Amino acid sequence: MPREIVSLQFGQCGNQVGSTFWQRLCLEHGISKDGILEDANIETYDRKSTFFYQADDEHYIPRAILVDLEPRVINNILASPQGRLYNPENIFKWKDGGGAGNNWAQGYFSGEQVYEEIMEMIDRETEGSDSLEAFMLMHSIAGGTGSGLGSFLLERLNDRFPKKLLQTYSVFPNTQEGDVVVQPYNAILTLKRLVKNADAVFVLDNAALSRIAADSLHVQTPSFDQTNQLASTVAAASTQTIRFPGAMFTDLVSMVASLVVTPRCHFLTTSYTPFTSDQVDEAKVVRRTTLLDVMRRLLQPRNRMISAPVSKSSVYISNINIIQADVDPKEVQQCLLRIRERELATFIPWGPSTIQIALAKRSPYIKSSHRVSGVMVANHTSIAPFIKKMLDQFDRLRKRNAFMEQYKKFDNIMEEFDDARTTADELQKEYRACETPEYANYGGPKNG
Amino acid sequence: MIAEVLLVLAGHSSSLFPTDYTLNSAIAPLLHPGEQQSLEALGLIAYRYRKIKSCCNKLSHSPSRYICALCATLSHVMKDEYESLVIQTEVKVLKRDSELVASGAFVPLSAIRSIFSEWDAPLAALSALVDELEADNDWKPGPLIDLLVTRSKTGIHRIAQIMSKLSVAVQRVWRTQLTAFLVHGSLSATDPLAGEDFSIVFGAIPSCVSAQSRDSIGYIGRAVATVKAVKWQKQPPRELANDHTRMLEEVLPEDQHAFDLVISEIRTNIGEWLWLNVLTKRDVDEAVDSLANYFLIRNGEFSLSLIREIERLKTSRLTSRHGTASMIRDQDLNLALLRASLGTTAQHDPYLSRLRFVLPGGPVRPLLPSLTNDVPASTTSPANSLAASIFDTSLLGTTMSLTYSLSWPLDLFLDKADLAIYSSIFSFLSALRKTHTRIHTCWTSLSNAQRARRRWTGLGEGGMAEDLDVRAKMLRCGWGVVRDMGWFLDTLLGYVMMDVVDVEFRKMKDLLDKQREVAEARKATGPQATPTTHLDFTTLRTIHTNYLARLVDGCLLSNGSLTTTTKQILDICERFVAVVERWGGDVLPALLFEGSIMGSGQQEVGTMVKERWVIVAEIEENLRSLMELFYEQLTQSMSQPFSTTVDASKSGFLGGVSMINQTTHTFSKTAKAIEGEMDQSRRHVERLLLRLDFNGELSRPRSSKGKGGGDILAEGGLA
Repeated sequence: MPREIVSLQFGQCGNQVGSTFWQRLCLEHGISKDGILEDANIETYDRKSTFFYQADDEHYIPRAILVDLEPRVINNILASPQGRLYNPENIFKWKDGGGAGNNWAQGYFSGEQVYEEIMEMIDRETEGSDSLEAFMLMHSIAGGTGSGLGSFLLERLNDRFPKKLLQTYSVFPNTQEGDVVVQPYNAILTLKRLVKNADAVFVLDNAALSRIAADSLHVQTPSFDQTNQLASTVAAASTQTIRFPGAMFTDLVSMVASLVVTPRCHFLTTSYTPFTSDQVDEAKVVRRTTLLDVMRRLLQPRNRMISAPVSKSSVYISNINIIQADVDPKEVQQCLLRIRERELATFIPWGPSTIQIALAKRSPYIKSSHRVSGVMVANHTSIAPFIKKMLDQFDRLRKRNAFMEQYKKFDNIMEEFDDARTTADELQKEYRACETPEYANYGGPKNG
Repeated sequence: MIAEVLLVLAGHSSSLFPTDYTLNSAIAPLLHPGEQQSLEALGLIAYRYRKIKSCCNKLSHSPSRYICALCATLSHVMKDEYESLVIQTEVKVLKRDSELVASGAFVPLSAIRSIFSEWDAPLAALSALVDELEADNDWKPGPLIDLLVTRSKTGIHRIAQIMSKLSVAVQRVWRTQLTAFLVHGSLSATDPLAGEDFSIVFGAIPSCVSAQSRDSIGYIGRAVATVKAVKWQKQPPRELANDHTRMLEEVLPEDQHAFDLVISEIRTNIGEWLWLNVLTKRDVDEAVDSLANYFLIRNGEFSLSLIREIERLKTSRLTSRHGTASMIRDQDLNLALLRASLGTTAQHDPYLSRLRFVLPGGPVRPLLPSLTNDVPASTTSPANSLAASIFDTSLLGTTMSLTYSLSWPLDLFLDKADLAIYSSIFSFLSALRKTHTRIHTCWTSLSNAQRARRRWTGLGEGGMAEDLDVRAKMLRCGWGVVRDMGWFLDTLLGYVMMDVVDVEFRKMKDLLDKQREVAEARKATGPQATPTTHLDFTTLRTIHTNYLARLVDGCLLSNGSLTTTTKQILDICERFVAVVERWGGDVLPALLFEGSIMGSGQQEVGTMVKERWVIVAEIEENLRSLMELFYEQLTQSMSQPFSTTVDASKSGFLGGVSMINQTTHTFSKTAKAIEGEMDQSRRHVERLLLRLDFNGELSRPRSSKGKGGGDILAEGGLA
């Protein structure tokens, strides 16, 4: 029984990240740009059926739905060599074509008009799978379509598929130098939906992405393509154990369940190392990688894909390292020992916790230039200052009532603003609470 | 008179000696006492000869070919030596040989007596021998050869000579049988060397053959006979057979060293041939791989799918209305195996068809998950049984075991006992995995319920002003329980799969690879090269047996108390999952249900929340103490690995191992292995300890969590 995952990509960012994500998956599974298995003779134990299905003519087709309110990005994808990979029926370009104009409300409220058509695609995809496990959303929360329409569809998916996992890869805006002025509004409004409707959210911070890209590529301003490649690498690597199943973490729920362990905190941070030219164009050459090296880098705050001030009090609530390498498990033991000795990772003070390690198989189709690479997916409380920063920006904008007229066109939007702000604030408080030992003092039933 | 005496000596009856060898009382008074004695002495010789002769005749109809050969040789010796002496004497008498016939006229009785005196001792010994032979009518070749070899070791030259002639004759016959068995794998219908299953028959091998050679004979015979029996397209080459026949022709078992040498050489040749032609490295590799994939669930994808399939089967049987349709049979489970493989990497694996589920208790009706809080019966008492058996029932609710069909040539190195160990490891791992999956399902339902609730409540948990806070805390507690359970199983499974199964599997593979290198090197250099390592299946089996032993230790299955605690933890997980399922997939009662709002009068707000919280809190408390107990027991097993329980169960287990290993596994070797294993398993446990206590929460004293001393005592009582 393959446990299928249907992915939905919204808006410019979502589609760009999605497109590189599928490129990466095709590469790892030996599927050519138009969906043909390149070399059937390579012996591989991968599981393609989670993310792909086979058309009548044996072409592999991604279980992906591409949605945008303006046609430009999707047209570019379709014109690219990979354009023929996708199922043309799964592509939604709004005929009215105006886009959401970087306005959350615009995107959200156009949802009603496009809902039917998109839901039909989703229904077709879900009915085509035997035992659907999850939906995977890719979007940015700063713009209009990804955030607004994404929010709308997230709510509807929650209604319609209450028993399926909803997981998102959400690109968070760069709080320092946003290219959209209203992005704090959009982000907080979307965040509320992510809190309420998703089971797990992979937070990909644009600021951190560009910083890491700049670090590993040695360029001042990395291109969107390059940061997207980073994001998609993380997304692909985090599904490695599902696509190349070993003994552990062979389905999505086993990963998410061990990561999301408290009722309110389901925002996950990631880090990946090393980024080489295998993943990103023009990356630095990495000479030598050892397991310890990789694991230590994964734990370093500067490799985390969120940029938040490093604070002493922040802790790991949970942590999974997916290591892609042919390493001896004995080595893992030594690394864990070393990490504990040097206190490289601090964990919650209210319950036993540890770094879970999954040794993932590598794709036989790619010759990697380095021995070990790894991705860390963690639930870390440094999300709290990160969200705090977003809230501060939101408040600054809100105080001046700046750019409100674009949103005021819609009913009740002010209430919506307040509600979203409260939700985000509660979220960061909850994360703060996880840092204290008192978190687990539930008190007895009698005291209640 | 002389003629009469000679006739008597030749074995004819005479009136001189009417009964045995006492002179006829009619003639006795007429003789001088000296003559009497001489005659009686000759009579005794004749009597013994006659006895031997008649026994020979009788025994030569014996069904045993060894006895027949003995008789034939004996008759031959008698004829050649004794009877010819009688005739020679007669000839001399008739020819009036001056040596015998005094002054050409008379033959002194004493002269005849002196001629035949050389037969006094041999005939006495032989007659004792035939007495002994006759006493037992079912002679096995082993004791027979032993008897003859011992008798031939006398100091009296003539007896030794005759006895060794006899013993050589019998040994030759035995050797022919042995050659037939070792070279052609054939056994005779009567008095076979080995039984149906090619195990050596008791008494078939003389004790002058060393224990090692005896094992080797069994091993070679079994291998060759099986190769012949299955009409494998590859048979041992003719030259090999010729060589072996020639080599065997040259030795007798009584020359122990020469014989051992020949047998061990044959064994090496056959082993090598098998290794290169029949049970090749590839076969072994694939078998070991498939066993690891399915029994040690290294194929996680498939095992997960299998567990889901079995759960589905149970549900479908529970919901069906008809009595007969609600039973689960072996074939349903085997169908589940196939269904589970669909869409996984196991789908096209030919080895999958070797797996079979067996329900020793016959078809069963599935049971609902139990909500009871019973502690499973402690399994520490029977030290010799594998503690793992308590997991046999986890997957289905009744004892179920997974088996693997051992076809030729795999049975050369695997046997039933190995599979039993594999099966119990599978039970343990699948129990862990199943509970793990159940926890994940529970998590999913909690998360889904939360998504549904949040549509109305935002980030909070909702509720009236009275129970707002309680609801939030209880939800946190419920999630905390799932977290602890999931974390514990994640950690334990991660340890078992990575630190134990993966490490041991790699180690074994490396050893096997080394074996192959040796084999290939030897093939390249030719048989003349002196063997550096003894390559055959004994080594292979030893490697494999040690591998299994380390797996069992690593999975903590040899430690009764730890196994019981693990089982208790699994049970409490199952209980919690079942409770949440019954509550509709959430810890909190739905917002508009009874008990969460003001009822029709007396009901207080939050009654149901309180009710549920009692249960959740109790489970949380029990789980924590069990986890701490587990950690404590684990630490103990580290510091005192020779404590009685561990030691007893371990030695019991290793007893089983040495039983499996029927081949040349000397005791000292096993003892050394045990020491090594001890060290190995301790290292495994170290890893688990590190994982469990990575952030120091389990080893921290509980009072630091702000609980009173009285609580701890109560918990002590609980645990």
